Amino acid sequence: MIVGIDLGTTHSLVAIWRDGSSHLVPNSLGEVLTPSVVSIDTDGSILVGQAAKERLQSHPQATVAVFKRAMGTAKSFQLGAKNFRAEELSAFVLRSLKVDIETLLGHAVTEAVVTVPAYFSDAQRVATRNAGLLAGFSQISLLNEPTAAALAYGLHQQDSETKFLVFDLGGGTFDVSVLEMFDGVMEVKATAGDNQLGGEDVDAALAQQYINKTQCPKSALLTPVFNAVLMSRLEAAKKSLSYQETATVSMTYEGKSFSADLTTNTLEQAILPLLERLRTPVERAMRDSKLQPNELSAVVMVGGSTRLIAVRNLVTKMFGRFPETSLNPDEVVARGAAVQAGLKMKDVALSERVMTDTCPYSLGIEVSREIEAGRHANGFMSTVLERNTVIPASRVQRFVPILDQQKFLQIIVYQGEARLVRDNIKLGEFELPLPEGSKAEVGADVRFTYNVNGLLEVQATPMKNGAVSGPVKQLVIENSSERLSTEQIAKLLAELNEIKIHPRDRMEVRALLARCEKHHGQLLGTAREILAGRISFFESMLETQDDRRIAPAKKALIELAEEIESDRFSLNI
Amino acid sequence: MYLLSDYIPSFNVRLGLGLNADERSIKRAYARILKTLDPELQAEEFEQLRSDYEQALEHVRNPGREYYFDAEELIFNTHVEESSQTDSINSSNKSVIATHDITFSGLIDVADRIDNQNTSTPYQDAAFAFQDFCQKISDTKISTLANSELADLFRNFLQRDDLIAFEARLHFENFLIHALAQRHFGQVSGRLLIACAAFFNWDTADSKRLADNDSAGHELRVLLDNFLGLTDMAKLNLLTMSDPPYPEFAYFAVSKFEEYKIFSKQLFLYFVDDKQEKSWHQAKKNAPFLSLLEHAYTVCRNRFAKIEESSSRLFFFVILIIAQFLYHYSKK
Repeated sequence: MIVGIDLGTTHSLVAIWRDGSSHLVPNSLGEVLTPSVVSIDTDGSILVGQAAKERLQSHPQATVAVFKRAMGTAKSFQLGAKNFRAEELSAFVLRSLKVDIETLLGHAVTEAVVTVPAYFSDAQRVATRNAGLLAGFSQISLLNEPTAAALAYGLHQQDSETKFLVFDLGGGTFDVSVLEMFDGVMEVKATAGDNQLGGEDVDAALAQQYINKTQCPKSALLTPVFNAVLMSRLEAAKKSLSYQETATVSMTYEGKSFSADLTTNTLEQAILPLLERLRTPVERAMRDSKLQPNELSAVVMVGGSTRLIAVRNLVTKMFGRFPETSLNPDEVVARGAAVQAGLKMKDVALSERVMTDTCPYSLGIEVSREIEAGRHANGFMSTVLERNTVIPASRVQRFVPILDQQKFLQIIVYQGEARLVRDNIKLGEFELPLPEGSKAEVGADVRFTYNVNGLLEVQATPMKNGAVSGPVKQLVIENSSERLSTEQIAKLLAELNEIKIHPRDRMEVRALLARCEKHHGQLLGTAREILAGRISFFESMLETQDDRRIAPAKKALIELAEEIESDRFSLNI
Repeated sequence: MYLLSDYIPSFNVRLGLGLNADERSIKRAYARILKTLDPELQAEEFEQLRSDYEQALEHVRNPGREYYFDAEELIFNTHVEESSQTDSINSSNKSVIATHDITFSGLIDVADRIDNQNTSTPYQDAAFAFQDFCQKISDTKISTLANSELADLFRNFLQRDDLIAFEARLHFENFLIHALAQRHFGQVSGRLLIACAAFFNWDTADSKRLADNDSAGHELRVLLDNFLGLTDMAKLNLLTMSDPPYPEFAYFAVSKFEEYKIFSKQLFLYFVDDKQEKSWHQAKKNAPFLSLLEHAYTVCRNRFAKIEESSSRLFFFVILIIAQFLYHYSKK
């Protein structure tokens, strides 16, 4: 059994392909969305999901979120006494999803399709795959998020030939893909994006606006608790704007109260700079696909942030038509991952379907150019594999040395679209020893191979007079701090296995307690005492291990929590 | 006897198609074969199929323009070194700073270019916005703006409501390409070109937009190419030797003077003696763009002439004479 996983910035989902359709798998709380938040409990065990998300406000030092943005970097997050990389934190989330699906199926799962933003770089893809290995999967295939969404969308299209654009604005990343579907073939024609743009930026812009408006000291944002509470209130207020005009956000800091209204207008103002950043990838994807806007039969909106009215308005204006919003933007990627899992399992219901994807970046090496006789300037990018080439793809190009009897050829691999390598991202480098000979005789064939998971291999073969003349050398992606070696992965895996994960069957209780602890931290006076009383009563009932006594206490506690939350934008209890 | 045109191209044969296969049947054939492959395990077969498919499509869409290659023959003899860029610079010889006054003829000419037959809303919106843009450029004292301010002005202009629509923006971009290629914005063409190129990503390795706009696009492509392809020294040479400078270069010179103090110092050391440094600063202060460049040009040319007739040549001769003398002496 292969499962499909959407490993998102703000939340993650797992889905399976069964009986000819995709099914989302609920977690221990019965929900399909598991927040991508990890927290370390007082007893040292790891909490994932809703329980951890609640602790973001009550225990900000012991909780992390939005770590997907740090994938492929060496950044480490402190969680209590321990430090974790983004891969490890993602592994906790994946592991929790793995347990959910194994509980449902009743047997172990070893293989998964994990979605990544289409515009994820090589390092970010490798990091995602490593996270899957650390979570205990033995095989991980990567799938681009907009492609996944298209798979789910295309499954229900009746037309035999259709072209559409997927606009995927998630919590932390933005992708645009233009696709064509014919005779059951789903073909990605072009992809563009921004892997540092998403709903989180909207929240950050709103927080900044809030601080400016209320004249609350800027230092407040640096206080973890204040920051976490403000963010969650702004997020709630932002979401409420889809059904009401205004939402009031109140905060207290150092004994003073602050309050500001969030309206559709102020929201639009705050995100205006972000809207402009959405344009560029859309235009580039359209250009690369060589399609005119009127040739598209639909613009499909994916990702929670496309619920923002301002984003929808922009898309409507840009394309002169209303976008397709019938799909649930949070779930469609996971469903698509399940379809891909079904394709990989050669499911009968999908035998007439096939999908091809492209590489999002141009890939090449650094070359020198002769500026005038005998004078060379280096630093130019020579593209070997152009962006939006259908993958898997392999391209060879021959390069020659500048000097006669040159001993080595320095092969430096870059990704990016700029013509000077200094504006592109360096992936790694290696030296290729050359056979003896003049520059007319010797050279090197450089082969770039890009596989279906979007991972790159570079090989160089020394050549003399058109014949192979030495051993092939392969790019070893730099042993930098940003990447984990195989040994490091094995070591981390052993370490992670030592870490206690909070047992799944007690997760519901833990989440409820975390939720109440969060409120306890924010309430004052009598309300706080009442809540504290109910929590300790519930805890004492838990110790009796008698379900008949636990149930009413739990119900009472949930009711109280709901009562508190119904007044969530202010603290006037 | 067969006519050459009767041969069925090999890619069509491999797709199981005849000579006159249309787009629909090519796609169907591709889909049929693709479903029998596993791209992950049969990467080579997939690449062959993909290349056949792309060639077949190109063949029906642009007859006569298809590129024939086989996946295994895809070896370009690209030299690491590439030929000098200087030739193309000399061939594009249009003046942007021939006059002192900042008026320009763009408004009228480009208005003429606008196709009144095309009544689609996005096109009309774009035409209208473009006229506004021309007006704005002529109203603004561009020469006093820093490069970043110019980029901001441009970006803010494009926030207009009537340019939000995708198609309108495309038309607007086309107008810009044609206007820039003809230097309709007078002296500011060069700086505008750089700002536009950055905004519309013309500067990336494979900008399709410039390629779509035939000669005008090609013109701009060459300019951008030259700008990138030159070393700092080559740019200096161009400044001092040629008359008048080209827009991309003029931009470069100004940006370097204003933004990179170190570079201007190197420039002084190379072309100008220390005594004249003061006058450079003076020029920069009062300087709008044009006077600065003209000043740079005259100062450098004078200096260049001086070097030729004086020190270096003299020094060379002295050494030559001494060498000869020593040679004769040793023989004796």
